[in-house]
Parts: sequence; C-alpha cells; structure tokens
Amino acid sequence: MTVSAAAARDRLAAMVERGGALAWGVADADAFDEAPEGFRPADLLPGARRVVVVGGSPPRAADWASPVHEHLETMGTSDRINSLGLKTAKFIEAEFGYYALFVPPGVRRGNRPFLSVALAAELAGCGSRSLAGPVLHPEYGLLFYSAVITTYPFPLTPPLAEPACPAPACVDMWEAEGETPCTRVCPLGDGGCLDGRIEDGRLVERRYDAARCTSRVYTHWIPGFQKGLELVLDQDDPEARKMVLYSSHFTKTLWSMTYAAQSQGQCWECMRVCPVGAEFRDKA
Amino acid sequence: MEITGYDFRENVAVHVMCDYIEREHGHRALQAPSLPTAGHNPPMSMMLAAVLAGLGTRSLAANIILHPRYGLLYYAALVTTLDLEPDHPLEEDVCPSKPCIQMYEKLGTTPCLASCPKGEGGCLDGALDEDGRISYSYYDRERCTSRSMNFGIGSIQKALVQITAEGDRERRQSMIYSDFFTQSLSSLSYYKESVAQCFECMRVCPVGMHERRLQ
Repeated sequence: MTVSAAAARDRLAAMVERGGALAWGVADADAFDEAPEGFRPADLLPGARRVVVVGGSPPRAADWASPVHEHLETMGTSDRINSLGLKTAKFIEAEFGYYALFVPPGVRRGNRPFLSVALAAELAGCGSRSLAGPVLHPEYGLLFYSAVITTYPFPLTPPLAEPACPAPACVDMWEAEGETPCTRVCPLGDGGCLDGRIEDGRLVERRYDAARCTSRVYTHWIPGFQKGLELVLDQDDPEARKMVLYSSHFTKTLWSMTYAAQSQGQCWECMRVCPVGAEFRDKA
Repeated sequence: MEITGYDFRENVAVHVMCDYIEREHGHRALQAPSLPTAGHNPPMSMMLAAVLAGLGTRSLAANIILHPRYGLLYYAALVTTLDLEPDHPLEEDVCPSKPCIQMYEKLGTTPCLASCPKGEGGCLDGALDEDGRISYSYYDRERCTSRSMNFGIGSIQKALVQITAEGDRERRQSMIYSDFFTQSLSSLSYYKESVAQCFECMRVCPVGMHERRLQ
C-alpha cells in the first residue's frame, strides 16, 4: 500500500514519540555542505534524501540533583536514544520499503563521527548550537540525538527560525556583565573551554577549546583507557604498573567502556548552569 | 556496516520473554548464554537451537543459519521449564536456494562460494549433490574470523600484543592513539558487541534478497 509522504510523516511521528523522543525532525540530505567530503549522508547511503533525527534521553532531574558526582559521570542515558534510532531505521524499512541507515554513534577515521549528528539535529530543526557547544532544544535544552539516513522523501522540518541560545536571561547577563552562565563557569581565558560574543541578542562569535574540553569531559571511557595504558607501559617498575592497572581510575575506565558502553561525560558544568531547559532539571 | 551490530536487540527480546514466562506462567526461564566461556564455543549453540526450532537451516556460507524469508538473522534463545509445544526443524533446506542450484549446475559454484573461495585465499568451499542438496561444506573459521572481526575483542588483543612489545615510547604512543586502536576500543564499548567487517557471502546470498532490496 502506498502512503503519502505526509501520512508517512505522521506514522513516523507516532512511532518515535511512543519510543520516547522528546524532539525529532527531518533534514535534507543535500544540506550537509559544511560537513567534509566522505562524511555526508550520501557518502554513507547512496541515494540518501533525508536524515531523520530523534532527540531525547537527557539526564533526569534526579541525576542533576545527586550530590554524588560520580553518579552523573557514569549514568549515561544516551544509549537509549541510539536504541530509538535503530528502531526508527527498522521502522522506515519495514513500513515504507525504503532504505534507512542508522548512523553509528562512534567515530570513524581521525576521531571524526560517521556523520555529524549535531549538524543533523540543527538542520532538522531540533535545536541550535549553543555557546556551550551542545545543540540546545528550545524547550528541553540538552538532549542526546540519534540520526537515520533514508531514501524516503519525508517532508522536511526547517532549522529553527530563532536560535535556542542565547536565552533571554543570558542576553541580559551578557549586557550587564559581558558573560553568560556557561562562559562564566568555564572561561577560556581562565583555564576553561568557552568564550564568545553576543551582539543584538545574537551569538556572533564562539570560541571553544575542544581538545581541552575532551580531556576533561572524557576522563574515563576510551580516551581514559588510552591514557591509562600509555601510563602503564611507561612504568618500568612492575609494582607501579600493577598499581596503575588496579587503580580506581583505570578500573572505572574499564567499567565505563564495557558495562556502561557509551560516551560518558564527566563535567556537565556548562549545561548545569544553562537556563534553557532548566525547569526540566529541577523537581520537587 | 562494519560496526553497526544489531545482535543485542534480540537478546533484549529474550530477556523480556524470560520475564514474561517467570511472571505470568510461574515457570523458570533462563536467557541462554551465547558468548564463549572458553575457546570460541558458547555453552549453548544458538545455531543449533535455531535449526531445531525450525527457524532456518545451515548454509554453505559459514554455516550461517538462513531463515527462508529473511536469510541472515541474529538469534537469541531462552531455556525454560514451561512445557511449550515444540516447533520442528524445517522440512526443506533453505540453502541452497533455487538460483544457487542453477548456478552450481552451470558453473560448479554458488554466489557465496564464488565470493570467498577457499582455493583463492577465501573461507568457503562446498558441493551439491544430484538432488541439489549440500553434500560437502567447508568453512575456514579462523581465516573468516581474522577478516570478519578485525575490530572487536580480537583486534584489541592483537593490538595489545603489538603495543606491549613495542619498546620505543613514541611509537607506542602513536599505536595507542591510532585510529585502528581507537576504533577497536569503540567496538568494545559503543557498539558493545562482536562486530563483523565482511558480510560478502551474505551480500550475494539470494535468500532474503528481496528484504535487502528497497527503494
């Protein structure tokens, strides 16, 4: 049975929302010009026409409230959105008979993802890039995203007309103090990762030290393992090697790589202070 | 495709089924162990379970169990004390399919054997009898594993052997942070399953082809 693209969109919406998506959208596969060659939708799926993006599974309010910092560090929730991405791909193929490729969440060559899911989320209108880095949904703020490349011509959802960042509260703070909550919490000029400039209420410049941020955000997981392994092998003394291998840090790294099995962040401070979606991080 | 594994999803299904049997029917239900505990052999063969349950039959292509409609599927199983009525093995072999028999009669090979011939450095060999049934099947598992799982636990072990044997600190560092080792670690964590990097014998298999050909 042939269904119209609009009807297909409604069925897709029902499925992803039932599956837990807080946000979702459809980007044009040809709109990924800023991605390098080899990392665009058609490079992954010949004939690609759309990229379906689903967003959700942020840390819960209780995760944010926990005084045990290791909790939020290890309580990864992004895996759930990847499950929904996989399910979405299967749904599109089974229901509509078109190719649908789940974009793997890991990295390909040179530590670069197979497709920038952040760019996909922006192009699909799920959110906009923030001073702090993550794509912010206008209502929920930080969400995790998963993307599916498909040959099915779903109707497009345009990028946001109004960016989610800076929020009005941040614009006020910028005008009064020349900084925002996120740039204050992690200032580039003071050993942090973030800097930027707002003009007429719009973000006009953003500076982000990705390498510094990664070294702090991913202190466990794969980069932590590599660093730990390097340290172990640099030790000549077997006792020192043993001490590193059985250390809390290395043990936790192995846990994070295997059981938790996802990219885990150990900082979150720029998101903790972000006003976008703050109401969802705060419960009675 | 090299790294997008799906085989954990049916484990989730089996987990739910076990819960259902224990809660709703009051019988024991155990998620069957599918990972090796020693050597390469799991404590219980999912392949044998799938064949006995009538889901498919062994194929010329690496003994993969082919479902008559879908071809390649991943399997998970549960063991239960609930007295369910057993299904039966399929009466008709799924492999070889009719086009494969025709190809074999003309060319002496099948699509999967042609894509990975043992005699030319590949992993597969086989023969069909006069009735079009498999009379001989050969699969070089070691060779196949080294090609189809070049990321994953095996590649981490291999890389660690090389890294730990490297005496030069700078070279060791470049090996630790290389794309290959990073991707290997990613396969262990993000993708969290045994991932395969070949699939060529399945790519050419006519069984389930219509399920793989979409718009």
